[in-house]
Amino acid sequence: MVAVDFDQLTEALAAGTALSGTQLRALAHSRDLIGLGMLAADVRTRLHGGRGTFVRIETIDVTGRPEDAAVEVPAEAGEVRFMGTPVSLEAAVAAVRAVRATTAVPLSGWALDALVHWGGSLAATLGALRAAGLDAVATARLDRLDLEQLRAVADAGLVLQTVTVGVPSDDDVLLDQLEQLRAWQAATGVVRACAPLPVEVSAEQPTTGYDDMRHVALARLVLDNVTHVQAHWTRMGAKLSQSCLLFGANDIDAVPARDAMPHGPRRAILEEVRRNLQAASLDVVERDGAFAERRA
Amino acid sequence: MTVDAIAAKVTRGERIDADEALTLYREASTWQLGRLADGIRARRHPERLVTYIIDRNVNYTNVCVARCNFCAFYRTVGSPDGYVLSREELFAKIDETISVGGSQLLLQGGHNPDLPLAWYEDLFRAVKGAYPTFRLHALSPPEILHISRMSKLPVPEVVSRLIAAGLDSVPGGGAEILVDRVRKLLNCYGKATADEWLGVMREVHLQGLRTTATMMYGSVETPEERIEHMMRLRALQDETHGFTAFITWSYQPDHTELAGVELTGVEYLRTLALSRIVLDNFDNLQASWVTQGGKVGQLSLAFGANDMGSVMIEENVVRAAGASFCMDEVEIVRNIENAGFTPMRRTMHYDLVGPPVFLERAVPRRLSLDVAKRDGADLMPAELAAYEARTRAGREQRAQSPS
Ligand code: SF4
Repeated sequence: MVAVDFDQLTEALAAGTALSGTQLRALAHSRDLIGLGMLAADVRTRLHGGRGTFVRIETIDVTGRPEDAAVEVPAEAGEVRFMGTPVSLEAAVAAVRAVRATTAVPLSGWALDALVHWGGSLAATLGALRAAGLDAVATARLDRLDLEQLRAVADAGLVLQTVTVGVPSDDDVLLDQLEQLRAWQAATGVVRACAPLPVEVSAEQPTTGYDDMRHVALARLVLDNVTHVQAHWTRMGAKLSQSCLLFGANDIDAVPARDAMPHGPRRAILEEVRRNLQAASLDVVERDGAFAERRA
Repeated sequence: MTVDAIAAKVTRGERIDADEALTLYREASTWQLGRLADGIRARRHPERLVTYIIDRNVNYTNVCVARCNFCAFYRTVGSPDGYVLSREELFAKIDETISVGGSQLLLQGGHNPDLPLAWYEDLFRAVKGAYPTFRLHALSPPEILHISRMSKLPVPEVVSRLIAAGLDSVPGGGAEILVDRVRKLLNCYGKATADEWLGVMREVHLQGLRTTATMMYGSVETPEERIEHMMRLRALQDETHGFTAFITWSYQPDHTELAGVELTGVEYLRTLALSRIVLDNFDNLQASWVTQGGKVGQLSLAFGANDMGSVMIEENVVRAAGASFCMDEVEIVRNIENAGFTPMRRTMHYDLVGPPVFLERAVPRRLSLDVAKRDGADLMPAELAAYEARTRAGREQRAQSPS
């Protein structure tokens, strides 16, 4: 067990002092999950006050999508997010352009490591998508990311909505990755948010609640130059998303814009998201894909 | 009194009253509640053991006349889906339980008017005859009350006859919220009033058995009523010291008449932490991973819980209402160790049994829960013909079945 002086760390963070690598590793190895969570929640409050944000997204899968497919972005969507594999860069550009022509909401799309493999240079791909109206690359995995890719995003005039973690890792590996991201962000400033839980998990041996919450809290403590720490509603579900909010996250990403409400209006997704934010003692704010508040 | 003053009282190990509990619940942050609850857990269990039991949650019948409006499990008398387990089925479940290291059945069911006291006695005797050391943690207070009403025998006599037949301990089910206003709204006042539930538990304790206590929160009760529930349990525990553990879970609304929404994970952690603070005479608090999932279930260990409950082989009631989380022993042990505790198997009485079974011998992994009745099995066993049915549907069904 590692002894940690939480009072001292709280004071240091309140004074705006970044925690050292040694302090962060001691925190990661401490058994005091509540102490760690409190530190991260303090940082979140200093950055965001009592606000807990969420965004509703409309997802468009371009895989096999006909070029003349009808575009209908629901009014509920605060962001349109493209995914899937297009037949060509031109098809992707056409899809972005078609959606851009119908809506002013921010458009994000694809995973950065997928764009690298579309053929041609990453800079050219990003430049073409930007020219068609894309505002942001949707996501990038920390284990597949490098500084050159982030520079290409910046050079294209785009931002990166969310950096995720690829596969489960232990605390020290995650801390190394987060510190690396912090340095890259200092050099580029393109990362808007980090969703620090792995996107690939085993069904037989899922990550644990303690590991997940430790990682969310550590991300909030390390990434003092990344504004938002996120949960992902569709991937994590209500309980895990809300736990992330307790341990330092301030935003819920990827709430579906369309909801057939199979369980009736009280159990609509939107109501569930609001309930979970409120029960985590946060003031509920709906945002758009540019992190601007949406007003009813 | 301020939150800080109440927190100082709790930290000094002093008892808090209902008003103070309400102030904590309303005004303390989740972190404050967690810190206080974790501190109490650490004082009560400084050895950093987290326990669990391997048992099987068996529901011997789903036929029920109580018709609680929060229940998605029951079927009415005469329903084509109504079932009663046969002894053969029950013995097969016991065999499977023993094969994975279990030593107990948690046996509960609906209030079936066609099962007389003799059916329970014969069943318990048959189990004990075939498996003398196997434990029967069976029949929640409303079931005992139901048997007492059906048999027109007083509760003390029913309890002593069940003990004579092999009952080892009594689960704390059917408590819901021990406030009659709530019980009327949940349509469970008829099955047992708050006083009746506590009265059965008092009697069971007086006759020498230990029991657990439960609380289902998040349906129609107020925070004040949740706290009243805890206060009533605390008072009985002061009197009898008969409760081994407290388990709270959130109301599961799917497929119920009452419907509504489930309260969130943070509300679960707050309620759990408050229980640890208020129930200062309970040694053990279980994590309800069955309703909260493995992750929030594990986080419970930081919010006052010291026990991961049961490695469930089978579960029917909560699943009927929408939750179907599953953790086998490997997974429970991994979660306990990952949270920095030492896992230890226990009995219902919280006597330590030993380290995980799977470390001693190969045990097949279980990634899903069994159900009460296998597909195609007879829903009503022929052996029921030996017992008199009270309802017409029951009599007709027995007349048709081959004896
Ligand atoms: S909760 Fe129990 S008593 Fe109530 S209806 Fe369901 S099975 Fe019957």
